[in-house]
Amino acid sequence: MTINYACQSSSHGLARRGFLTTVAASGAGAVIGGLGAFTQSALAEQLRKDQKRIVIWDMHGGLSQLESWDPKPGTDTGGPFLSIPTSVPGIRICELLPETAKQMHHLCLIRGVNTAEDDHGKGRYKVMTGRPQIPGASDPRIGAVAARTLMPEDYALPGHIVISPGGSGNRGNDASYLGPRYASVSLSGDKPPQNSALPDNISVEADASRQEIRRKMNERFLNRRRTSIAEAYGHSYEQALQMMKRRDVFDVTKEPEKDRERYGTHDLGRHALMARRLLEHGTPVVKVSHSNYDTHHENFNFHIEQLAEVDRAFSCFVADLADRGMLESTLIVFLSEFGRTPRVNHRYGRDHWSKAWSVVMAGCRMPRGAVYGKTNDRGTEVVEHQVDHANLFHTYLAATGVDTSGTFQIEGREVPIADPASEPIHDLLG
Amino acid sequence: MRNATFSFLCLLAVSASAEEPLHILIDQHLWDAQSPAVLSSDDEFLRRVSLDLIGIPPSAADVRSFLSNEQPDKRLQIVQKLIESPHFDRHLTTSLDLMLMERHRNQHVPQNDWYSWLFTQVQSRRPWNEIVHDILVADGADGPQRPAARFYLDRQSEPHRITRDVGRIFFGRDLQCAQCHDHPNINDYLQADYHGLHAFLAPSYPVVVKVTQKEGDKSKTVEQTVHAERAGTDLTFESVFFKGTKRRTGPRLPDEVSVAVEFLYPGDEYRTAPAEGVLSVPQISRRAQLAERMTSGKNRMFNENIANRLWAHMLGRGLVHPVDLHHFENPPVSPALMTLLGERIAVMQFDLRVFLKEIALSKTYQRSFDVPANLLETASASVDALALVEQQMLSLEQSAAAADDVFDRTTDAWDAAQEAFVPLAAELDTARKGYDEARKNQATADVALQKNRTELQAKQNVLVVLQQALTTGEAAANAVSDDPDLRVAVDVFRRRMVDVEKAIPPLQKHGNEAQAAADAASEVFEKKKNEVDAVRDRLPLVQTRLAESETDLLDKRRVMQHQKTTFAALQRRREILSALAELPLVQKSIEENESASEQHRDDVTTIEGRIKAQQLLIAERATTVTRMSQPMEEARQTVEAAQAILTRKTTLVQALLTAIQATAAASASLPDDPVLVEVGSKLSERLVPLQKAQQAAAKEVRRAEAAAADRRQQHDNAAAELQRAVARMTQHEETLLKAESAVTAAVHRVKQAKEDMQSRSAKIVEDWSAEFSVASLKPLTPEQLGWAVLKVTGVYDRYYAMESEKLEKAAPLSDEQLQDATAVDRRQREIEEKTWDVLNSNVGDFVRLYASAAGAPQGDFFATADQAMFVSNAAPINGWIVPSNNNPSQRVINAQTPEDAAEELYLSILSRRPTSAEQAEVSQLLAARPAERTAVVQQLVWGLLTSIEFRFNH
Repeated sequence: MTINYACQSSSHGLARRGFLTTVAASGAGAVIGGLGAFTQSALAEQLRKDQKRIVIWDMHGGLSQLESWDPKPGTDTGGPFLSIPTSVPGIRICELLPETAKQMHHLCLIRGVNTAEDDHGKGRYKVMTGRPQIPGASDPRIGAVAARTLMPEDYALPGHIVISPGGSGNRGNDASYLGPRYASVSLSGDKPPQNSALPDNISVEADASRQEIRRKMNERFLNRRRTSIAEAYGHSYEQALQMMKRRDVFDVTKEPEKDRERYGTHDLGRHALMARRLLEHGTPVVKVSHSNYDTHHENFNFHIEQLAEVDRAFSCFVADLADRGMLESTLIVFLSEFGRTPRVNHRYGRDHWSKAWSVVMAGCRMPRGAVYGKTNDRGTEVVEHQVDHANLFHTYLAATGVDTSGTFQIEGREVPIADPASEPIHDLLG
Repeated sequence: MRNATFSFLCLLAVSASAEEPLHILIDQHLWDAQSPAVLSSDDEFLRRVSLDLIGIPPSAADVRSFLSNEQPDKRLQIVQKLIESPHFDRHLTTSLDLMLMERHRNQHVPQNDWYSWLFTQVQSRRPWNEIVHDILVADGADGPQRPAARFYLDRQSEPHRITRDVGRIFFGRDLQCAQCHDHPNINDYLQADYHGLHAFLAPSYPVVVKVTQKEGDKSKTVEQTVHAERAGTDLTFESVFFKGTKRRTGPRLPDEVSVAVEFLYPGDEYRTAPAEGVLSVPQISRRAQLAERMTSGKNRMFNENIANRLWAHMLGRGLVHPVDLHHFENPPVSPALMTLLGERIAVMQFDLRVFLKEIALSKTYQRSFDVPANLLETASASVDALALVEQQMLSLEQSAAAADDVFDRTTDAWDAAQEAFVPLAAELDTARKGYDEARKNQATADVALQKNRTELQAKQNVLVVLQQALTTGEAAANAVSDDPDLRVAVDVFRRRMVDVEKAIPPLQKHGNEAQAAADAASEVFEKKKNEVDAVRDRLPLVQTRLAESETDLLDKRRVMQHQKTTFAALQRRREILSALAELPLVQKSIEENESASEQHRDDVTTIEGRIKAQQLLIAERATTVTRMSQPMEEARQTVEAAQAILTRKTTLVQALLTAIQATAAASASLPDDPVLVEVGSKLSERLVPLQKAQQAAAKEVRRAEAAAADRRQQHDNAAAELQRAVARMTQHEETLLKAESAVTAAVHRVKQAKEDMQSRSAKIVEDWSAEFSVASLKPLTPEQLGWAVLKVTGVYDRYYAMESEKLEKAAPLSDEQLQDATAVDRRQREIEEKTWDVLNSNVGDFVRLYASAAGAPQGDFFATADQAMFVSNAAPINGWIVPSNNNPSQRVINAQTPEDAAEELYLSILSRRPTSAEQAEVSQLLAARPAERTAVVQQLVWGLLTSIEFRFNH
């Protein structure tokens, strides 16, 4: 395999081994089941540290791989932009991402993606579920699957958050059979989740005393018969109280002014900062989106504008996560539903292209400063290490320590976590 | 403990008692005098049956009146009353809507149109099978029936999606896996089942047509998507496991033989052929065939499915659960009862009211939610029952395996029949294609020929007319011989005739060619028709064989299914029984460990006593050691003193001896020095006493030393004793530690065993509730929850009264009408509808937060923080519980005594009276803060509204 490590030092190997033992010792199951049992803060802290997280950067409409991760300057397909060196010798990316280039030593570029689906809806379905769309069937999206596998059982705050302008706490329809607990909650970062503050006419004391009445009622009822659904219902009010206590977590304006400046004052900058804030507070799954890359016209001008925003926000985000030691436990996935055609059409646009495009990952078990897979000189075909949506889906989960050959128990049915006919990219998982 | 043989015996008992009311038969299957749960109390029953039948809990007044009613048949009365109330139709409509549409977004048919259509069906008491029939044949083109097509249209008319949902919703079988292969371990579902069902639905497709709609006087044309249908074909499929092995099926219901398909030549298949913007209609509608067969009352799966879903509607879970996972690995709690319910609902002609009423009247439905505090008593009886079940399983196991083998062989035979059928059917397809082409060619040739004939005829007609004109013209010209105009006219006629005559031969030639082509096409067509017929002649033999093997396959499968279902049901029964039988063992372990821990505790006490005594001993010995050390010290000092004396004496003796020697030496040098001699003799005289004194001192030292040794010995002995005592103490302490950890271990084991007992008991209770031996805990649906909150906070009643008043003002009922039950009932329904229209949007808030995702099964329970925050902090509920008019909060505030307040509170919100502890709690809260009575009451109302007890039906 071709993996270019940023530095050849042997400490990489050691760090990896150390990390693997941690995974082996704690295991996803232990993390999920055990959190409630530990009262010692050090242990809890350790568990929290081991708690893996995923953040997805979703470029809606189909980002051009040629104007970003896999530039082909000087060829008939390459377009007008040059490539630039990065912090990793030998890896070059498009000049539209100069700041991101400086963070290359944290990233792992997957340049041989072929998802064989050029329709927006179907392509998105494949990328997000790791499976092709079968009529009549519905599969949970990666965010919901990650939430189900990574979220601690007693996690009080919403564990799967989609940051979107105007999001006010609505649940997304993306969890399918995993159920609404794992569905996304959309939040904007500009305002706290709906109903998360006591109304003006109810004092803290009044709330405390009505909660006490509720608890006593429940205690009496549970003493008649104890069932899990009844307990879960009682527990949801305790979760609500915790959430109310911690509603600041969802307020991006609590971040320092300086950072808001750094990330950019546009939506994407604010959302990226919000994502950082959520991850720092332990949210297991976060998604940030950027629209709309469907550049059938004026592909190049559009990418200049859009990627300027991405470059600023994404480079800050990666650098900050690395600085804060969060890359050990956070997987960054930067994707789209497909890439764009090498051929430039007569409107200076590029069309839908799923045959050879790129996805980027960073953190957790991913190698740092690496490139995996290769397209030919004109970017028209994958020539080395081709992977598809199913491999990637497996890899995202496997990178966070999930055994993707496992199954979910859904109402007595065993449903594979990921497409059983496929598997993770083992080369990357080491 | 229920008799373990019930399911087996009832298999035999069912048909014999077919005349009995259904609720009696239900109890014959599922009720037993020794059942763990008794009948529910009146208040528990009333809340339960109200929520299940009309979707809302009873008011305080309803509960009071029911509790004070002493007639023995009051439960029957209330069930009757609820079923006839307008809220029953409302709740049933809402439930059927959820079941059929699963909150799919509306795209082509507005939810309101669909809901009103369904409401009308329910109100007019249409049987379930007729409603389903309408839904299945609906194409959406017919105005009043268009809403029925929502089932298809808002599933985007996607055939696979529809097939899956028809399987799930109408047959209780999720055949999705079978879309791509036979189920790997559940051979209940075959790929052929999926595709057989799909063959009914696959020909249908969406098409956009233009429709004229009237709007007052004007009419406008709008575009509308309808569900059109093509002529059906066989479906060919292959398993993803066995690529290349093609199988073929026509329309077939999962448990029935294939539908005999009437043969139609291509071109004869349509009443209205497909074209853009046209609602095509085939001669034979597969959808109509499906509707016909499914809803005839003879399809076991269809009948059992609705019976099971209604059962789940009432009891919280199906006899088969999940309700769309009906297969033998997941058997009904009572296979015999499942069969019976399916049969009876068909006999009841799918009257949903009658069926629900029978369930409500059964004791099984009316069981208590509470379980016996001590399961051990029930446990002892389970041992024998367990043995019996195991015996039955043993005898069934072999026959089930044998049935499985037989079934496998029939699938082999079916495969072989398919091998013969598939190529022949493919040949027919090819022949049909050839026929269709020839038919089209022939038609084209015929048209060409016809056109030529028409043209020729036209020319010939012209010729005749021209001939006549010429004849007449010539006659005229002859008559008026010098008229140049006539001559010119005759020339024109002649010339024209020549032109026309010239045109005729090519036309005739072309006509001959066209004739030849038409003849040839006709000949080809005849040939192709013969080819089709030739294949058709060969088909019956193969088809018969296939049909026979299919019939055999289905028969054997039914036998196998029956055996395996029965076996699996026994297996489940065994699990519960053995779990029960194991309880005494756990109890024994609790007791043993408890007594062990007692024993170890005693040990600890004993050892602790020993330690205490030892501590005293050690102290005593330590004192002795201390006491001994002083004499020892004194003796040591005495020795030292004596030694000092001895040393001094010895020094003197030594000095004297030295002096004597010196004197002697001097005398030797100076002999006869008298002084020296005298000195010498004096010195010698002094030597003896001094030497004696030295000896005495030496003796004294020895004596003192002996005394000191003696004292030291005594001291060391005491010290050794002390050390021994300390060592003994360490031993005691070790023993104590051991004994203490033994206690801890035993206590831990007790705790573990108790937890084990608790979790086993919880599991048993859960299993009991899954087999309807105790009432289950049913979460309210989002709609039930919303309406229940509106009801118990008094909001519903206030709006109901307002609407009632409005109607009364607008159209007062006459005295005569007031005596007429029908008129009164109609009025009540009007009020209910108006109140529903006004308040329904409030329920929408609950649906948004509490409902499962659109398109997913709607039964799953989940509790999230956003729901809790809505109830805690959002405006509506906090507003509804503010005291006003005569709402429950106000009534509680107005209550004269704390007891009355507690009763009003509990009756209003939870539909029951408070226990004495609860009463005391209310009194205490009210007494503690008399100045804040309003606030405290609101807190109480809120506390009850958000309690588990309110959130669930039990």
